[in-house]
Amino acid sequence: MTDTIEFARQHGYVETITGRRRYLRDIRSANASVRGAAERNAINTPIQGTAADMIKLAMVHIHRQLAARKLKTKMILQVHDELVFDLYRAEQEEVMALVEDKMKTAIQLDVPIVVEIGVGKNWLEAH
Amino acid sequence: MKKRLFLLDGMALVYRAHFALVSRPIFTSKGVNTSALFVFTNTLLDILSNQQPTHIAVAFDTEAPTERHREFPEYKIQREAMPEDIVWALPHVRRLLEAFNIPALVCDGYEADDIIGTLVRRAEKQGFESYLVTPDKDFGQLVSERNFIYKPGRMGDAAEILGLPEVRAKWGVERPEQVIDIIGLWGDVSDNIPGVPGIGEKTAGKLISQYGSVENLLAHTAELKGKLRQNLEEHRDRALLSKRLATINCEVPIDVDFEKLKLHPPDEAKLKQLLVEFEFNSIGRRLFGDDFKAGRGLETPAPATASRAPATEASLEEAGPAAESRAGEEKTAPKANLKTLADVAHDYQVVSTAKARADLVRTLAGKSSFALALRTDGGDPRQARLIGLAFACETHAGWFVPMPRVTDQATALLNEFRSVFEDERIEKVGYDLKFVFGALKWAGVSVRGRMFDVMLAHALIEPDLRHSIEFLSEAFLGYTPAAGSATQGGQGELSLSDSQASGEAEHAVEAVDLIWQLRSLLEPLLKEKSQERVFYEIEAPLVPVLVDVEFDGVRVDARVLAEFAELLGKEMAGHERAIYRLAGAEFNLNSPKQLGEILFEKLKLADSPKKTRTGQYATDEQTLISLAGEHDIVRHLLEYRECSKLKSTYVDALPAAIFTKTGRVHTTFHQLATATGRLNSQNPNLQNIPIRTKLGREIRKAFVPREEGYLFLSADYSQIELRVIAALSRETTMIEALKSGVDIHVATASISHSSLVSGNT
Repeated sequence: MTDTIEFARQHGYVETITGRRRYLRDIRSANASVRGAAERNAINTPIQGTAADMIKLAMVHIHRQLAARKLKTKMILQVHDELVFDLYRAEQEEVMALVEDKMKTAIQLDVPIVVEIGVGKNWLEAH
Repeated sequence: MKKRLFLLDGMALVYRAHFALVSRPIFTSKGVNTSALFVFTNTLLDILSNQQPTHIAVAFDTEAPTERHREFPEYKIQREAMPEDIVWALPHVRRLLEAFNIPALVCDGYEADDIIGTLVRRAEKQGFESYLVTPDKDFGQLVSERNFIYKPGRMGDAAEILGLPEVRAKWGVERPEQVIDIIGLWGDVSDNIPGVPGIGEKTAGKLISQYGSVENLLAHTAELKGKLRQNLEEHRDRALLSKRLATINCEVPIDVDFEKLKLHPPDEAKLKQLLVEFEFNSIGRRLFGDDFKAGRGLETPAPATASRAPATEASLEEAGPAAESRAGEEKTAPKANLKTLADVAHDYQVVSTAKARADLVRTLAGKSSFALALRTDGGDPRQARLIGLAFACETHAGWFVPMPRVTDQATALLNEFRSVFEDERIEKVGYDLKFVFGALKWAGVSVRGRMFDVMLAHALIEPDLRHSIEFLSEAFLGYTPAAGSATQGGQGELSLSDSQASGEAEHAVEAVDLIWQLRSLLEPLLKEKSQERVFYEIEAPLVPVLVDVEFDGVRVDARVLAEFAELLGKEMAGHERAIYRLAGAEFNLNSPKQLGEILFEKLKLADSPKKTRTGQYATDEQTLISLAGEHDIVRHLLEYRECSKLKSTYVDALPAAIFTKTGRVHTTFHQLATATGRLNSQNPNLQNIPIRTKLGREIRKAFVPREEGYLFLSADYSQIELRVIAALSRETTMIEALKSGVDIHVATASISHSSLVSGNT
């Protein structure tokens, strides 16, 4: 984590795994509280930003497959780390496998990615 | 004519100006933070245009130590180093004053307060009415029949003028000089003036109104009791020292000729040049009319004076010969004039016949890429009426295709362009393409093919700057679009008659032409800033995905919400009854004042209850949670509030977000509105729907499958941030733990799909 702050100090920005940048103009500030806020952002941004990259990529890949396979299931929401679908019943098995696979493989990390997946008559039941 | 002297407390105003915008600073196109300068300039302009000053000057501190530092080395010592942005701004404040022909006053060994005090006293004798422009409360001591404090308003608010009655009321004193006595006892944290321990504002006020002054109070401590007496007797010297430190010195040996403080009109040329350099377009237009073009991204010189300390010349310094100003003049003056449509040869065509449209379609079909913009009558893609389509595929040229008002004809016209819109081989260039494609989708056409969105590209290249077409054009093209053009994409409201249509056409083509030009300038910058992967692999392909997600929407069952609302209403009524019973009285539950009195005066739930800034008892959620163990009433209050918030924010509000035509809720996503890159949703904000409490989760019951034959599927990344942290930090123990699959969250009770993985994915 100190590496991240050091990187930010040298370059003036931090980045996610895909290279998305956040510029931290206050990272070299002489004002301790201003600098502290920038340092916290230096640590948080690569984490939250990489998670953002991951779910965005998963959305692109899932959407592409739903269209290519001419499936009736539709992706209808993205909330935090969650994707929500109107699932066409007959496609349940195929879509669940597809969604899980695309979410897990959106960005390869050295750790397993786990996706909790559920189906129900409404959002509360599904989640 | 009345003589009205305005004396500005320079440094205090610059600090205040900087912090007024600290949460949403203003930057130039070069990334320089101009917040302090901007707010300071506006404060100055407010005075000049609303207060009719006849005389004006700005006083500054110098670096030299003052009498106060010699007497009390800790004076102001706690202050943090000046923020870099203020260090940068100060010399430019001087240049600005010079352009306004307003003298800056400094005097080594004396603070700005003292200079102002001295001038005010002299001005009194010469028949002036004086206004002390400062956010600093200590100046109350200088107020008199003729002297007033002018406290600049926060952005948007009116300024406040404090005279004798206001100062008397605020401090509870008879004579303004007694403000010094109060500060002597109370102290002043911002200046590190110690005061007497254990004495706050209220006690200080009481003592001074009773005894008149610090000295008299100290002579009568025998009349007091206990800790207060002990503190005063032990800290006599501190009280007297504090009073001296707080006293504004009105005898500064400074030579000032009031003639030289007379208000003069500004030096227009200099002022214009500065407004260009600082990119203060709105101020420029306010001063010099709508023709003023500050422009952006012109080769303005680097702020070479940034590290220079404020001037420290002794005695009076007219603003003119300041070293900083000379440095400013040596720079090459930036040019104020940006190009407009009138300055460039252009070939903009209106395409209104069927034959011309067919020709245009043929031309576009032969291109590998074209820019596309819409004119619409609103910013909601679901309901916006298309007024026209605009296309460009070379610089300074383009076409406008007006759309018929009748829906059938409009649909038919759109169909003529369907083939090029749907052609996957042709790249589409645009601004806020999610809106453009969304509006076209609601009109019946799905756009396909690669895309280049200049708004998204710039949001990745310069995330902290503005991304409007106007800003991009000025910064990258040195060109100002006509007022109507910047609203392309439909974000502006338009309604126009036929006679306006030709202007409309020109604006639309101008916008699409600029978009086309911007694309070729932004493309290399994506590479330079290493944003190609994020742009081409994530953000650009995400646009059509979000268009579909927004278009498809989610079905929300209003009946479920209505039932839930009823349930919440009943719960609230139950809690309300319990609260009244426990309080032994009925009162307005939503009034923090009444609630505070019940909790802390009647029920005495805390020994020393917290108060808010306005002096009321604090009854916020945190306070209540900390008191939850004290009394059953608190638990009922917390639950009442949860129900009330759920009901008003979500349960009652969500049905209004259901779009009647589809019966579904279509949120709007913002791709790059957050600093981390996370998606954000608005209208309604679905990211906020509560998930932490059982009651909150109930709202999700109202989100149901679109129709018969469908179910709801939710797929949620489990502990994603923890996993990302492990991977990014290469923490081997953490990685091994995650790989071994001994995991906290396993699949939920709902239908699970072997979601636990062990081993590498």
